[in-house]
Amino acid sequence: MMKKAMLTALVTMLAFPMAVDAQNQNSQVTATATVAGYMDISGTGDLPFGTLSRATDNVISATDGTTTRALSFNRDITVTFSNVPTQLVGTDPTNTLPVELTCAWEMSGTWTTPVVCGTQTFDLDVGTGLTAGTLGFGGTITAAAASAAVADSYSATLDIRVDARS
Amino acid sequence: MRPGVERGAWLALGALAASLLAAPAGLGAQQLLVTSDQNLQFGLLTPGVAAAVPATDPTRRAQLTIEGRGSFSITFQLPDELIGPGGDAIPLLFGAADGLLDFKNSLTAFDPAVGTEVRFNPAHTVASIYLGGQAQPPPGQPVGTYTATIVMMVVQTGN
Repeated sequence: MMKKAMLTALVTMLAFPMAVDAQNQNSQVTATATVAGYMDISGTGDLPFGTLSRATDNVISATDGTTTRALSFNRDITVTFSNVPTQLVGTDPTNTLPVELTCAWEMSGTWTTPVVCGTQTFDLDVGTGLTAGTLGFGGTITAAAASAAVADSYSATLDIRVDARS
Repeated sequence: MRPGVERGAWLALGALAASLLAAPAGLGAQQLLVTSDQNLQFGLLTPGVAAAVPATDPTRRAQLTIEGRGSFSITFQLPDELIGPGGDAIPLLFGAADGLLDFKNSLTAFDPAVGTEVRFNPAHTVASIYLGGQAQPPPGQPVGTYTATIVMMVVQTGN
């Protein structure tokens, strides 16, 4: 009798499938990206002392825009210089000409006071987005140095390095 | 009830119970199970350079799984931008082929802005959804990690 009752109950359950409501579900994923640091230095042009005066010092200001390099960056940067020459070398390498190179930088139209490039480090802070800056280069060749030099064409190169600051 | 008939009835009930227990794993009493398996990862972006993740890229696309019985519509709430530190934003675009439905061993592209539909049957109860997209960081984009949330809505439309 009990078996019959159980059997009836099971058959009843199977004969009346459970009602199931429509199913809705939401799920989500995250989109992610990391923006890398961006630094760029561009521009061309040499520091043109031209034909030197032997009567007065030959000076080019680093802030007058004669020789510049443009910077753009989206994070804080440090600018350093290396292989800064203290003398220019003639086409005849035995000919040399003492020089003092100066550097400065500008952001938003305001130049810093020029300093001897040497071991200088410039720290430029990023603004609210991609930030522009300018490096300026100048220098001095004294009248005495020009007087002591033999006729030749003199040149030298310095290296500019831009690093991100953490 | 004769013993033979009773035994047969019990056997039939047992078989029915077994078939019920053999229903798709994971669903339980529900008819729908949705899981998110992988985020949409644009990786490292360079300011000013747009970056796209195709829906066919198995390592970077978003991936979700739907397991169910019946018919379902699938739609999305798509973000317009990724948001980063300080509220900075990167525009985000989803193209007409940035959705991919993987169902019955077949891939079907769809526009995630429109959505798609899937109809499960007893032999096919699982579908995967893949999403790609494009991030467009402008040149001045600040450094940082940017995120956005994509919501997938699955609504049953039929049994």
